[in-house]
Amino acid sequence: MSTPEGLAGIAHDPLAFEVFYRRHVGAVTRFFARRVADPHLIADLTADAFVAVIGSAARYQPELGSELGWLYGIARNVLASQRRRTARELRATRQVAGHRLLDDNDIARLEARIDAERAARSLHQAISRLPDKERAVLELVAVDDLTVTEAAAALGIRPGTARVRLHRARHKAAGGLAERPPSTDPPHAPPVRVLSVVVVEES
Amino acid sequence: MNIQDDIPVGGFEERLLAELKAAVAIQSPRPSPGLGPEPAWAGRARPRGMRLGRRALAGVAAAAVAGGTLTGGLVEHDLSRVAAAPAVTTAALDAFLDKAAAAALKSAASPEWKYVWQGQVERRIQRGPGQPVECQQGINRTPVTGLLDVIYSKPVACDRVVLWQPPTTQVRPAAPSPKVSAAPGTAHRHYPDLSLLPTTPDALRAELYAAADRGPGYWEMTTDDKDAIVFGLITRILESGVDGGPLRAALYRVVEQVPGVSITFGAKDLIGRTGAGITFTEHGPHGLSNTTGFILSSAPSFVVLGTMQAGYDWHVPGPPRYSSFAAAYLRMVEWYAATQSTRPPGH
Repeated sequence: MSTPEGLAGIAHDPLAFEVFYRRHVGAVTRFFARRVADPHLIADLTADAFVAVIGSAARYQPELGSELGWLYGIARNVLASQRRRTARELRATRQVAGHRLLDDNDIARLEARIDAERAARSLHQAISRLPDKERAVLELVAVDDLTVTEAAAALGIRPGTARVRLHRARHKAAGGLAERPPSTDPPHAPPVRVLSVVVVEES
Repeated sequence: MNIQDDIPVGGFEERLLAELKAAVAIQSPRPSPGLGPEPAWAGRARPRGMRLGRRALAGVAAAAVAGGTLTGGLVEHDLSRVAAAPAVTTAALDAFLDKAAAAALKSAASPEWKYVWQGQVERRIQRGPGQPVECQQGINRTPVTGLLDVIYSKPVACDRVVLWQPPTTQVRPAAPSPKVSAAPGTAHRHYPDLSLLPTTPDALRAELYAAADRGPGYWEMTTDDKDAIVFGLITRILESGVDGGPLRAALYRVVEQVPGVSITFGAKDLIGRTGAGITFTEHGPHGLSNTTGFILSSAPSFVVLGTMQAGYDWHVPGPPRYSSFAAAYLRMVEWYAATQSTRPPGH
């Protein structure tokens, strides 16, 4: 649902940003829950990812791939950056501390999400021994359910290159990478009974 | 309107969104809604050198904490909460409006683009037997200039109002609407051409009271009180985007002369901005009351931040009851909460 001019608007229009955020924040937290098992870290990484989105939205080119692929590319970079830097460095540079925003309900909900993504996390760990470039494609396709084209966009490579790397990765990991079971992420909101729907007039 | 997110109400995602949106707003090339005209370069590429800076983000966290009423993109209002400072004297009202009128005279005479937040109740939900009825209300940022057709959806009864941003930004054409209907959900009758209105206070006052003689049916109002009709017309004109000039100044002067108008300093809009709330309350049956009004920002701009309307259902069969007016400008829902303090038991 990106606008024709891409996502440049989300860097300076709070409403446009909110639309984008609401569309993708669930996917981003799940992305991190498939890789780390600490709710506080997931909150921090989610905050970091959207801060990075604001900073780089102007560079998004819709013709090169989907929003989600682009977003996952950012999320990967955020996670890689997290792993490269020390906790002290992170504290000094982190712009929005996501973990500070968590309350007990959030932690319980994120733990449930982490639990639901356990299989994906195992898969992610299982392919960690593959060469980086091949693993990156396989990770996005097998763990995150991106298409090869989306994975290519996320990684900034050509789709053909991604297909080759995916083929090699699958070949090397043959036998060890069963298809990921469907997510059992539980609904996080209590059941809602809709009493009535008020007609909303559209202009 | 489809809801395209799965953020739980009150979750950390909402709080994070508030911080991030504030960061985006800080580096926005546009002014905050209602705070002034668009800069000359609005709508073009973002000027160089406006990248998101750490300083901006550092201020965001503090602002989000200080705001207090925001829980991310959602703003929750407990309608039983008493949340307003007491109204003060007529002298204070006059003094404030004098300053506002003087400021208006110094500003540009032509209508400027402004943003209006418009809200509509989209659904009512109840999370279990005996639980409060929650109204979820979407808000749109609507650029308007000149006249604004205000759409009032059906009023609905609810115990709590939850506001949130819809996934689309609705752009409404700014056009006078000669069509009227008594039913909510349609545009209200309005002055077709604001430029024809007199701009001296006495002449404008005479014009508005003559207009009130047309009666509530013509103007789609629910009161026979001429003062209430005049105040309602002034509110409609102000919400139409009269951002500057002699007309706005004259309108403020006329408001001073309408009996029954009160001012509440420290009124808050939905994003935590404070201003002066100018209201007219009409008392109805069963101890219920209807309140309409507008909120003005503080000096030096005295910009109209929004308008509000709160009261009871008058067109629903059975005993009257309070309701949320779906398209009351949501900046004013804080006021709406305050008006509920007068709600009698059982309503």
